[in-house]
Amino acid sequence: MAPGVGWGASWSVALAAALALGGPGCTRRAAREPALHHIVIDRFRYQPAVLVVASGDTVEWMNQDLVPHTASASSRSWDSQSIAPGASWRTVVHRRAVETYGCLFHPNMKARLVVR
Amino acid sequence: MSRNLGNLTRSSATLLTLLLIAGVTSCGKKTETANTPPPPAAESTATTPPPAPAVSDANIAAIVVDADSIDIKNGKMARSASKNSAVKAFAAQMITDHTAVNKKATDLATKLGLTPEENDTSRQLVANAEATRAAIGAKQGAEFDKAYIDNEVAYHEAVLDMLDKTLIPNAQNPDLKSLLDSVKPAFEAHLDHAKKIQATLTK
Repeated sequence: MAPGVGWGASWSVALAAALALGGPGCTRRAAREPALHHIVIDRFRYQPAVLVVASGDTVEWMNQDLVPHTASASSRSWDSQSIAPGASWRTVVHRRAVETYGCLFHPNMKARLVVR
Repeated sequence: MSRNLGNLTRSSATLLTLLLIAGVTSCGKKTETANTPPPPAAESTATTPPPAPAVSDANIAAIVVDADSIDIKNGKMARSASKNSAVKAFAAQMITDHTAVNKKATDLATKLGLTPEENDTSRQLVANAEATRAAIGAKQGAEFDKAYIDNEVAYHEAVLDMLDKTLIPNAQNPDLKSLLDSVKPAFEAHLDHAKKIQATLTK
């Protein structure tokens, strides 16, 4: 780095970075960028059985089992319908709650999705 | 058949247990289910060392396909004959799930170049199931529902017992063993589901 140029260049980079983030007041928004979470359905179980996500995140269920399953919220706020073996289904969750869900086809399958 | 039964190993005894239990409902009464003697396999486990595998992978493939097909046929009968929505839904689920499992089993057999090979035990399994189905089919209404669900409980218990004691331990091919292992949760879930319905029917 050439003398005399370094300070200005560094400042410019810092300023550009701050602008890219939308300024100091918006750095928290950047940290809340919606995330994608995966839940695997295998051997008649949801894995993980409990998942904590943030409101606005996307949750995807991937059916790696031998038979069709569903991921259906007890509150009926979302329902995948039948997910064929090898297929997946995703939804964006907004409602902050501890949601119990399960498979409509197999009553012994239960899990929880915690939306904060 | 008589020659094979005359020389019972633990494995064939376990399979015979399945045949006996599968035929329970053909006798109709729940008291007979309760009076079914303890599985011979459990007795022989305590008194004899484990015998050499009595069923080949080809036999196992045939038994799995037969066991699934039996429950699909039972399910089709119940789906059309029952008026109980829970029983009908369960029957439809059995058709869906066992069809999916059968597809996996036949796909794997094809991949492995394994031709399912019927033996006396699998043939007897099918024959007993036919008799059981005829006996259930002769009933109507709540009697039919109870006979069907009672048999589903006994049948899934017997298949799970067979998976644990005979099929999984004797499977030689690792892919076949893995498939059998992954099939178990389906039978466990079905058994649990059937028991829940059974509890509502017997009240």
